[in-house]
Amino acid sequence: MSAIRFLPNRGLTRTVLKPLTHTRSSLRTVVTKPAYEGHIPLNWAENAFLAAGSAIMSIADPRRGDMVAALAETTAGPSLPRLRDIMLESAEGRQILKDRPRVNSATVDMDQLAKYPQGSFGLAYVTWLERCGVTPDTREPVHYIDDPELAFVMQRYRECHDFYHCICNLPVNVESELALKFFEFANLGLPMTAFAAAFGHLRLSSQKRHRLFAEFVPWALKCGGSARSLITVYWERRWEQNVDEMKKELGIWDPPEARWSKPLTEAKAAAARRQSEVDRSQ
Amino acid sequence: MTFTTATRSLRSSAQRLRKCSVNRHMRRGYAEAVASAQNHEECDIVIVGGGPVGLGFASALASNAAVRDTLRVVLVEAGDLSKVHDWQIAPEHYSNRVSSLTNASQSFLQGTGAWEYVEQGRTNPVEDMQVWDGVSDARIAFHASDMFPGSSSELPQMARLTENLNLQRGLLRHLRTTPQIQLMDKTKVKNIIRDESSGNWPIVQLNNNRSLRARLLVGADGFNSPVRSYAKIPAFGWSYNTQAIVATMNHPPPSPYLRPDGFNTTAYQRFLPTGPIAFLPLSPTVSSLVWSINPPELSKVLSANPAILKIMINAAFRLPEQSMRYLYDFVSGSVDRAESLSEELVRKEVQWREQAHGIAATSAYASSLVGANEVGIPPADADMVPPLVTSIQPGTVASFPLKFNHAEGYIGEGHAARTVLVGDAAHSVHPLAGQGLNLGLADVECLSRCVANAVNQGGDVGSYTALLPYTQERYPANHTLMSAVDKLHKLYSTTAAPVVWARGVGLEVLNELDSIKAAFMMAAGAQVRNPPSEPGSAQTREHANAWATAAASVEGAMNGIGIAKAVGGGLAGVLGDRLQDLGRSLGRGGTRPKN
Repeated sequence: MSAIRFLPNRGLTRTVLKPLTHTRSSLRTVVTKPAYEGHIPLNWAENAFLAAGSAIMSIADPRRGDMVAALAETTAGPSLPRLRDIMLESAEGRQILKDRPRVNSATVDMDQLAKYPQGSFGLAYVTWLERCGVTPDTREPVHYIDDPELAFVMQRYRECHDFYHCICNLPVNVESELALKFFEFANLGLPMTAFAAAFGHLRLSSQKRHRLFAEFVPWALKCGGSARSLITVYWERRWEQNVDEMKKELGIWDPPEARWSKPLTEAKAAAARRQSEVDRSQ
Repeated sequence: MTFTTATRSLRSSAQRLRKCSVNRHMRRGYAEAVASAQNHEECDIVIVGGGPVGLGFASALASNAAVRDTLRVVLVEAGDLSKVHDWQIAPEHYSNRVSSLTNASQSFLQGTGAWEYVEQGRTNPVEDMQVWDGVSDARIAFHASDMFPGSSSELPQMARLTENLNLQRGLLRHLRTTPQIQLMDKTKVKNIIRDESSGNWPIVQLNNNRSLRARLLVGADGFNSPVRSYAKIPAFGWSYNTQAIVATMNHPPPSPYLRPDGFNTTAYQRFLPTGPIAFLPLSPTVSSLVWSINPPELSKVLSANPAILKIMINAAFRLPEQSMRYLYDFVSGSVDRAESLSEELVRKEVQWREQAHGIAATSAYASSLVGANEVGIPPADADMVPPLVTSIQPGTVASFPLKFNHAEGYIGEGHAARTVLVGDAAHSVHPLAGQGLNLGLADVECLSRCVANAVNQGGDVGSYTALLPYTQERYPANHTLMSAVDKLHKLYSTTAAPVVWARGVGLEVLNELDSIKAAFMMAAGAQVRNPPSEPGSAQTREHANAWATAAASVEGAMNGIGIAKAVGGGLAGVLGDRLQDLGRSLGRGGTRPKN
């Protein structure tokens, strides 16, 4: 009986003590502060809205890189933690997570790469950039992934996309891009790659679509599914490695011959030109 | 005095029976049976096993004058009990086997008089508990002061952490005061046979060539119980495929900003998918670890390297689950690593994982730079995690496999009559709720009550009817608690997102419902249970307590309504008037006049 009499008293002490625990739990559930530079925290409704909106915009205009990037980030779901775990399992992937390297023309010295010997990955990469007329500086930064490490994994996937082109010997036209998306889906499992693969071919002519599904997709799924997870490859540490050796190590074989806008000889000449320019300036 | 004569007459009839059996055996020519039958000594109760539960039972029997003076009780133990009796250890050192004695267990020990022989200075109360989900970080906090204050005069504690050796020594010292109870240590049970000629009484053959014929054989002999295999009581269960690591940890005292009195009374437990890790306070600067982990290779590595274990403990209370999973793999060697394992290497990995998750070096969740948090004002969330472990006491790291095991019954029947199982011989449970020893002590509390009843009524202590209330009371109680603990373990070993979400929300909601939390604490034995004179009435009392809690929560709700009323002001007043009118009209209609 006496116990019940004390109850109001107990209630009083509790109301004094309670607020402490409340502020703490609210720290955990509501994310409002950016976790890294460029981070835009979203709640689930905002995330869903952005996912739907960016999906529509990406279909309407696949050249909207920002929309494709937003789609990739808002739909990533459990695929990024999976990729991170795969990276943690291998020593090379772990080193990438520790260093968090970035790939752009400021971190990769293209002139230096052009000096690598014939057959090396470094030279192959520069030649591929020349032949396709692209630079590694057009990558959208990550905004909508909350965990800084997972944001890096997303960034890494995006920045390494050109390396996948190079190692698979594929140019940047629409059907090759789609073939590579199929390859990436089989290899990395990001939902956006599946989305792109599923809808992208609608813009192709029937002849090209037939060639895509008859020749490239079987290669992409087979090769992507059996190759080592390419997210764990520290490309920047492998410039000297022979491309053929590297393909063998990673379990990649060449797709059917793709349609290049510029012949290889021209690209090689451009690379040689660059090389001689560098030599002359020194 | 009638019960004494009754027992005596029973005993003499038993002796007569024994004589017959000797003759029959001689005729049949069973040499061994003859030898044993000829030499055996008559005992009323033989307890096999001198662990805390076996000694607890002996001590409970010793505390009852009627039992002590009429029955011949013998306890058989293979180990050397004098070692336990003379156990001494430096005050700052603690044994690694520690149990949290619930208030119920403690009041049983106080009732038998054994508690005063337990060194109080080496025990530590648990007043607060922080339990959280390793995946979602959902958290529940238990405070002893929230519990229904049925025992307001006593310290508000949920449990008291006691070294098993301290308890065993206390029980032995208590038994020393009652020479009627015979302790036979350094004696192994060679075999248990059945005295076929005289009602299948068990005969315990010892390695010192003595054999004891028991009116009641009590198996307090642990998981691989010889008594259970003699009684042919099947047991069911499974292995958890996890190892528990125990160790004694040194750490700085709680910050004076958090605990001005300097006491260390908060227990911490984090549920990682591999199993829970628990931090149990023993003194201001010493705590005990119970950590269940898999794979077994990991426990091997950690047991062999206390320096790495220290880093891993600190990390396991702080780092997100996926990083812990990586560190498990890293330490156990299932991921390739170029360098050989060293303290510095593991520390660097932990530091990297902290950076990867954006944990600031000054946060309470940072552990790789030990020392950073030791001085000055602690971080705001310092009491969310246990203090940082600075070292492991040498020689205290041990590991053992975890399993669930429950005998299908506690009393031997038919040919194996007059046997009964208590403690680990009857059940093993996952240590996550710290209930193993408490269940064992509750068993012996009940069994000693049954024995006392049989003696008081002049009954046979080994008879099925005398033992039946023990099974009836303990089996459902044990099974309920054991399966709850087992389900809890299973619930928290998954990382499936919907399950994690549901259990996280459940825990957060539960955290706000104080009366349900109090009920949980009571069910876990935090409520003192006065040993009643009759078996069965313990339940009545628990029942009453539950209702008292319900009453308290209703009163709490009414208080809340009262506050809402005050806040609601006018509207509430109008509603109240309407209700009063309604009440008056009802009152007029009924027999009871309303003022």
